[in-house]
Amino acid sequence: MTKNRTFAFLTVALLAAVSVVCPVFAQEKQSPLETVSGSAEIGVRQIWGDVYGRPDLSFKPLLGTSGFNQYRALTNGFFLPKFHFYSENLFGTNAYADVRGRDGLLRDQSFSVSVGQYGKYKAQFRYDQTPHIFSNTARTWFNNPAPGVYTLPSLVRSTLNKATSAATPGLMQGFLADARLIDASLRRNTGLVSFAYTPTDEWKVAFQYSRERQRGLRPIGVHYFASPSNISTEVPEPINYNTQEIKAGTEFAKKTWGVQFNYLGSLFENNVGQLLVDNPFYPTQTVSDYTTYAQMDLYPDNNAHSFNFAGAADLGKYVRVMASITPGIMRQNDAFLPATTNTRVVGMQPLPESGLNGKKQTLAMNYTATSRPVQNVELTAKYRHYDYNNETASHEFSTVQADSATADHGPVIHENEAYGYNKNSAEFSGTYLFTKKNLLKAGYEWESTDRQHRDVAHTTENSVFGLVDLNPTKMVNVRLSYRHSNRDPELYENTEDAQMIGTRRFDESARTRQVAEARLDFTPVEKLTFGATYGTTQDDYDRPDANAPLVNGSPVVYGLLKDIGYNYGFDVNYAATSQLTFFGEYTRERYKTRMRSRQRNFPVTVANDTANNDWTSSSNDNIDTYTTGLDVYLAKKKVTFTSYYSLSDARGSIFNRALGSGTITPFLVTAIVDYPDTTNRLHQVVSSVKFRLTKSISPKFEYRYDQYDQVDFQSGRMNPYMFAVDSGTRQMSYLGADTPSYKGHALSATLEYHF
Amino acid sequence: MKRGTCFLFILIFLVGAVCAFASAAPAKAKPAAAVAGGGYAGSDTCVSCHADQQKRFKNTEMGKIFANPRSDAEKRDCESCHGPGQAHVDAGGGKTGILRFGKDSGASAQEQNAACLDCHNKGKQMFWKGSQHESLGMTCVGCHSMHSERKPSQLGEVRFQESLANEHRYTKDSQVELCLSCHKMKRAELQRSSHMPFREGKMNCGSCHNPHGTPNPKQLHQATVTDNCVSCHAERRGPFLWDHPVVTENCDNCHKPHGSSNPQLLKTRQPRLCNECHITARHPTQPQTVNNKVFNRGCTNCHSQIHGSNHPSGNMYLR
Repeated sequence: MTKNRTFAFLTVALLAAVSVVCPVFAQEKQSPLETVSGSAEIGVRQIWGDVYGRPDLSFKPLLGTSGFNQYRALTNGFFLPKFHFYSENLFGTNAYADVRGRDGLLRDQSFSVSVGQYGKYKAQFRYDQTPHIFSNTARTWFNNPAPGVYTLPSLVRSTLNKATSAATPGLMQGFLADARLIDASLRRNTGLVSFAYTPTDEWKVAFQYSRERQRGLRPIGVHYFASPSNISTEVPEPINYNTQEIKAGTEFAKKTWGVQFNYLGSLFENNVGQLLVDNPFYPTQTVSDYTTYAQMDLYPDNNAHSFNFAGAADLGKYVRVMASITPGIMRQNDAFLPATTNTRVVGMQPLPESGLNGKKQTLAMNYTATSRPVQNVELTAKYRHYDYNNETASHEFSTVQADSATADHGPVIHENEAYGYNKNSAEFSGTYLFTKKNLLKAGYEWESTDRQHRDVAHTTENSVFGLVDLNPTKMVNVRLSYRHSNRDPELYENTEDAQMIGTRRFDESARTRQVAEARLDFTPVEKLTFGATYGTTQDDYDRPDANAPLVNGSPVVYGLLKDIGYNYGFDVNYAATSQLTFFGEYTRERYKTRMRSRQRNFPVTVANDTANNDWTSSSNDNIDTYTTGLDVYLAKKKVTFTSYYSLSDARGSIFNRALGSGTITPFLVTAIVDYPDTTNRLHQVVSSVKFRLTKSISPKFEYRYDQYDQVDFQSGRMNPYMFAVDSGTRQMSYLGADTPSYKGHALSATLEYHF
Repeated sequence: MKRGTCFLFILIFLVGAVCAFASAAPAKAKPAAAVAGGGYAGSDTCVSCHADQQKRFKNTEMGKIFANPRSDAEKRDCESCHGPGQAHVDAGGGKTGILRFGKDSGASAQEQNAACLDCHNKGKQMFWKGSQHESLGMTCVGCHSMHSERKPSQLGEVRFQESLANEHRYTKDSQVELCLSCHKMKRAELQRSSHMPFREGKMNCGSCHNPHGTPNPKQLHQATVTDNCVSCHAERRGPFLWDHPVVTENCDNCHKPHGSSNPQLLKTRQPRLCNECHITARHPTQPQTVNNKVFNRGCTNCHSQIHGSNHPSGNMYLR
């Protein structure tokens, strides 16, 4: 029996024991106030279906490990969908106990146990398991003798080492045919205890401790040569994390003022700190170009602590001021791995420190004042300061990419830079209720950002916004809003090595943003509501500055130029009778981005770094979502029938175009093509019927159907060997991780017992 | 879970539970006497006409607190929220002389909310005034139902499983449905193939946002978007030797947290997402055909430590 099942059985046994003992105890005490109530649902389920769309695979991916169960555990057999036990006035006191559970005996089970006294105390324990499946087609040819260590048999390595270029594909294909399936998934198990105490109406203290354990495997790429284009492989990254979190706080509040103090501590621990992966092609170190094994650093242990001081006070009858100050600190000091394991690399400097001793200090300060000088006008002023101060020391590191030293790759000296930033913003807004239920809101926001070691040292953004909320009749509600923002960098200077002059990164460059939304709710009768929404967000980055390069005499921006999204939707809710409720919804979304780039072949020279090698790309994502459902109550609500259907239909395309001409030299953009269209459609159907046989017994039958159809040029052809798709991957191996299409059915019969 | 941790959990829980029991007062057979006078009619008078509401209310969490009142306001029972009722009684009932809540109330949103804020102006509601929802004239009773515990509909349950951690059972609908009744486009985003475990009931809107207002952007619990994300994805918090500044500053630069049709909740598919910022030399600047820099995870096939690297040679986020 697995630990989960043992835990679940213990919980159920405890629940059963308490259910029996408490009423008996109550009778012994002869207290008429003691109450015990609750419910338990048990059932059986059968799942069946098909995983399809990958006829090229030599095996059949399983439904249970497909996207059908991405974050859940629909499995065959016995399960406990939910249970609830509640007792009040326990043992003649005014304390209560509340025990709840969901999906018992399954990988996604969760439980909570609470005891307390309303308005006084509450002690709670919660436990939750959340699975996350990444892929059910991932395979590896590596052995895994220890966590994070991946090896290959010597014979395989020496055979590949001696193989000619022409023979390698055949050999690789043969070796990878025996790759074993891995469980590319993750599970988070979280336990949490909390305790809150309210000694007086004015004072409250609270404490919470949680520990999350993450275990699983996730695909990750590793390399053995300076350019990963040469030799690389994909292996399962072991996830072995523990995260502990402590929250403690207290609050004291009177009727017109209050203060809060809170502490939050988070400790992250990665139990597998590095990957060691054999190089399939180089079993011995003979040259400096290649390493015999790759060493990769995984996420380092870290910890973060923050304190929050908050307070609010009413200054007279019309003004309230609020403040929140949150200083925080983040630290990390994992021991550095060696810069290279390649013994043939010469000229490496020793590591400047044994660990980073990384330290960041943050400070968030928010001040708000709001006032109602007259009954129908509210004025609000907000000021926010956020400081992300990176105090990590900078050092020079002798670096080699992927343990390889070649003439143009290294070792090279790089200095780590302590990125930090600082934001200040102020907002002024006013709301005017021109009638009791019609309002107008308008405001202005200013934001200033300073960044260290980035392309832009200082930006300023100014925004104006307005909103009108109209209720012309009881039946109609209309809301219209608009926001216009303008972000201006003081001076854009490209700081990244070899970055093209003229590139403007979208998070710090000039931007004009327009956001508009409209919403209509129409309720002709109480039981019927129609709704309609429209929204658009339009970001325009195509605003050349004085330093922008000239193309045909005009300044041009490189990077993201436009990011535009539109959406609209309709919905209807109808409670036809007390026996029938219905809803239907439809939304359409369109997202478009357009960017401009330049092909700059290495080494970049004046001759080939020309606008004739410019290219542009447009990405489009179109999504339609349909949802409908109904609840039907029959036989005086003794029978409930529910049916639900949803479809999320997404289509994506990426168009690429060369902007130059093949008649002019140099013209390098010869390989440009559009990417194949992608689609993913997720259908979900749920139908259930529940009978209330007696006041305490309710059987339920539920049928669930999910269908996911995917066409994706990025993952849909993934196999451990991709030579047929890209001959440049002759010495590369993958896991072949994909999430293929599936159809899944789940039929369950459950019995709910109320007591 | 390790035995030591189990023991710690049980110990903390038991200490809390024992404290609760030790301090629990003997159960009372009757609620505290309602206070009359000063314009107040006393709750006994209210019950003589509104017995049904009283019956339902006394089974709510607030009703149970009022049964053991801690303050004068709580002693007033019905009138602690509805205000002095004597005028209402003198008028023989009807819709006047008493504070009523909801759409048919003659009171403004501010007047209705003032009754709630009389007690609930602290804790998670401390920043309610001046918040986004407050400034739009939303009322507490627009979302909360005080007189009875919500009974989840079967339809609601099949759409979005409710998180076990959500203990707000006196809302008009499940928390998710409540928020989505106005934020309609978010409902569509949550239906996407690439999503967080929201539909499965492992998280809800309240996992990240506080609808009652916070001093932070987008009513987030944490000071920044990134702080909010790393509260669950702590491994990506750093500090790293080689930080990726666009990651450090805001996860939203690359991800759409409510759902995406692209893998890993990405705004735009790789390699285009990375191309939008990187026009250096070698492979990033070529409009690649479908090859090893495009298929699978695109750029992060190789630059797998894109959230930051702590390896001395990890300045390209390769290791």
